[in-house]
Amino acid sequence: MKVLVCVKQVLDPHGMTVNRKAEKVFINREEYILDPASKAALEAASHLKQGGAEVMAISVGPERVEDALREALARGADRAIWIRSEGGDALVVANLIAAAVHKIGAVDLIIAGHQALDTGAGELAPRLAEALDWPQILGAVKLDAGEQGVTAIVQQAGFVQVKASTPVVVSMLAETYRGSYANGWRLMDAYKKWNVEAWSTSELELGEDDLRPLTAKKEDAFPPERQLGTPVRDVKELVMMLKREKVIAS
Amino acid sequence: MDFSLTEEQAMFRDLFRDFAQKEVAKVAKHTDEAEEPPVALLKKAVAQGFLAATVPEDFGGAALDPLSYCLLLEEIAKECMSTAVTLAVHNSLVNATLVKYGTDAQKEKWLPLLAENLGAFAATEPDAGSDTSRIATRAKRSGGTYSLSGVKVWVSNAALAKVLLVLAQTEGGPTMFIVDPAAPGVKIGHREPTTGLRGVATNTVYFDFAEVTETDRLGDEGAGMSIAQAANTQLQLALAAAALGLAEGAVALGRAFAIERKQFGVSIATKQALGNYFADCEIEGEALRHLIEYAAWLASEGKDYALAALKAKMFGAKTARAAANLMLQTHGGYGFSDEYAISRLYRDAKALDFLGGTPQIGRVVIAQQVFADSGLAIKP
Amino acid sequence: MDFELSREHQALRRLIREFAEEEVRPATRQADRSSQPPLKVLKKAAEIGLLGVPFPREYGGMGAGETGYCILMEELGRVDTSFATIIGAHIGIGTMAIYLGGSKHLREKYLPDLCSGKKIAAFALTEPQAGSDAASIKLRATKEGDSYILDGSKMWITNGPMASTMSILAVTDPALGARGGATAFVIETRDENGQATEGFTPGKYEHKMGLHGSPTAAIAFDNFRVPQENILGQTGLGFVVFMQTLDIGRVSLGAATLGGAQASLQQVLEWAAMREQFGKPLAQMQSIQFMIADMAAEIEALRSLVYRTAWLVDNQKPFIKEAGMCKLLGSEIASRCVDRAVQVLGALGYSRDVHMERGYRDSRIAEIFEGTNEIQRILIAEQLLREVGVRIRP
Repeated sequence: MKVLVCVKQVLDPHGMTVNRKAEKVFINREEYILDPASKAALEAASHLKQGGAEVMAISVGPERVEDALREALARGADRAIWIRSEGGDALVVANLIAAAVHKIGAVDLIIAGHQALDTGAGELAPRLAEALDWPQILGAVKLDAGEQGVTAIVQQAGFVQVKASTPVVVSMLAETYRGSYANGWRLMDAYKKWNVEAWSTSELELGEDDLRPLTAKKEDAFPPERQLGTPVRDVKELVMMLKREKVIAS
Repeated sequence: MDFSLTEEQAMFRDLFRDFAQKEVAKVAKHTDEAEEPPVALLKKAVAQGFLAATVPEDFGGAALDPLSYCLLLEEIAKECMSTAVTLAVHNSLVNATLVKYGTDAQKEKWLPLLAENLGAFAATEPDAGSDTSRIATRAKRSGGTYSLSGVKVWVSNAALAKVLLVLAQTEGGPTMFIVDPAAPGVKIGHREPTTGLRGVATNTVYFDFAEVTETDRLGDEGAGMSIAQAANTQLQLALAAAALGLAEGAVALGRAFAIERKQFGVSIATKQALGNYFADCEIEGEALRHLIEYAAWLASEGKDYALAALKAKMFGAKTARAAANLMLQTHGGYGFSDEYAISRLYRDAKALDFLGGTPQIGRVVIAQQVFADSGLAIKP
Repeated sequence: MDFELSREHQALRRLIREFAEEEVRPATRQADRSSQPPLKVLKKAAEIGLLGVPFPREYGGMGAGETGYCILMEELGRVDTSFATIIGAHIGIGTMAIYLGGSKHLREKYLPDLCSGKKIAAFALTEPQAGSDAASIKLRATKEGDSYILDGSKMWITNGPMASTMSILAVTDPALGARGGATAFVIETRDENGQATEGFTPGKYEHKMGLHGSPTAAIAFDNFRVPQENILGQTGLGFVVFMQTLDIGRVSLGAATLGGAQASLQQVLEWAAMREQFGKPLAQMQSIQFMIADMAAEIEALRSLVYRTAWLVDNQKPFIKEAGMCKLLGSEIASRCVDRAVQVLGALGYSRDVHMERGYRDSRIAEIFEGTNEIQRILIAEQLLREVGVRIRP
């Protein structure tokens, strides 16, 4: 089985501070990390390697994205493909990846993270499925593959088991990541021995329309401020406060 | 100027030293390991009058003069800082405060109990550490009774105390109350596991509509802050004395070790680098002693000794920590081992950086004094 | 001059940071309370290659060099000094002595299992009468046929209770003493099942003020046999191997203290921004601001020193003086920083429920072990004075 994992690089939230009053986000340290949902996707793919699957990782972006791809190799990917592009919106990224899928050929399963830390839009997987005209399973917490296709467990007012024949696009929830760390030896090999294949957009079969974003960003807006309560140390103090505020009888 | 102790003070010091060496020394290690106050030892201290150290004779106290009281704490601290701090909190924060601000009725009611049982002082809260003005514990008045509600943290001696002095907000401002911990509505909570001073039981205390009559209000409504500050001054001098004792205890341990331990064919005491450590400790210890003596003299003359006590305490914290640190280093690897006492002194000394106030706040107070007549406002 | 870490080293840092935050940090409290090392975490660390970071790939190491190893120790030191100490003793001195002094055969025999974490290493030098004065060791290795028989004891051995492979220094010629008469060996102290090998007795477990998660013990040898092929370096010149190992070990120890200092600074920043007294956050008080600045400046200087020294090691340049400085400055900077971090917390910093309090008790040892700071000062002065023609002794 040929599995393609879409990975995304995002700004490290630890390098940012939010000033709620000024409604500003400050980037103190511009450092990039592999998005947690991408880690979940890679983990799910690695799990399938036990059944003999071949895992490829793909990412769209500027040169720094190579680090995310090398980390993907360290996390079990056998092959890494970098589409050199400034991206655009989710539609453009989906079109780029769809074109890459055609170029790679014979891909059975695409696994992506469901929602990334930066936008949380969750658009890549469904748009990719549309571009490829493949079925989609969104928000999976578990994924298995076999002769017949894939079986996933999806969170939907409880848990639902979904089956699909390949080829299919599946998105994994970030919370499913169980901490299968990158392998140190593979990480060194990823930088010193192995290659990341770099593809430019001209190498992919794409029309002008495919690279035109559908959306344009207008502005950043903060959600309304939540009223925070008073922290209490333990149950005793909570009970005392409730009595004092006359919520419960003394 | 006569720097010598009076005959009586010298006699007291010998008595205290004897007690410390005979009774305190042998329980120090266990007290720390078990993390329990040395109850049996405290009973012996009761018999010696140490729980009423500065209480006037008319109330059955030992009526020690300020310097003698300092000598008591110094000698005890040489052997066990936990015991010294327990006694310091009890005598300086609780007893001395009652003696100074209590009515005769209050003194008659509470001092005898305190001669045989520990007292505790509850001021600090989760949001009110250095900044006592932020206390939220309320004392709501209704006729002749107050109803206390709130949480106090880091209350030393709380678990064993039979008397609590509590700082709470009333309509008239911060007010001090005398509270019986066994009264309904008073709950002793979580015990803090601490770095050092493990023989001092430090707990969270909850006040859940605990009732106090106005006869147990200490001073007027709104007088709480100045009472608390005075109590803190009393404690600071006591802690300075305890700090000196700890520093001396540390040096004694280091000295014995350095003489005994041979490396490179000689006692390490002969190594210049280590000699330097001992010299520095010697200078600081001596300076600390004089600061304590001066502050104690001011106190015995009835003069304002707040700044002198603060300076002594701040210098004491620095001196004790430095001595414990250098003497731990002198022990080498053994300094890190639980088998040798020095690491206990090291852990105990660290508490001096917040007990009785932090050095950060202390410096602000002293800076305020330096610029006092300039008309400038120096604030934390 | 390029001061950037290579991309693979940056990637390695990200890997170790994730591991340290997700695996090491949650286990620290329990390890401190129970005085048991977090073996599960150790196993996971081994699985991703962290137990052999500096050693070449041909021996099963990760091949990330001294720089990679410093990154490992910094990231671990940032989270848990005890855990960093276990790793430091295993990689930095226990296994390192075998790597530096062992023949190709010994390296091939022992390094793979140590790099994979199948076995844990320890470094056995100190004895009751031989601390700073390492040359006065007494543990005896007597030649008998094609073996040596070890008799005597060692103390303060980090990983002593769990190591199955140890680098040990013994006296082979009492007449010459340590300089010229001591030999280093690699010995096997536990078998496949973790049982003590014949003649080896793990001794008294040390109860320490801090570093509870890093087990330390005395060890004893009674008629313990080691084959002569297990000699590290040359017969009689074991002191050289051991001193070389300690020298290089100081660089990564400096890195661990750097991590600890960094964690302290982070603690101060976060607490000062949040905690309000006297109507404003502590961060608005100049005393706190100056504290932060002092910490940051010292940490920055230490960082440059450590990674430059690692660069010297990786580029086969002389590094001994700088290594001693890494340890000396690092341990003292870390002590100052963790003291400030605990101080800013006030009474809270005195509670064992608080993470930084552990750091306070744990970090004190760094000024003492791996050569006390007094010895470091002597060694550094010795090298400098040699340049002006003066020879000194401790």
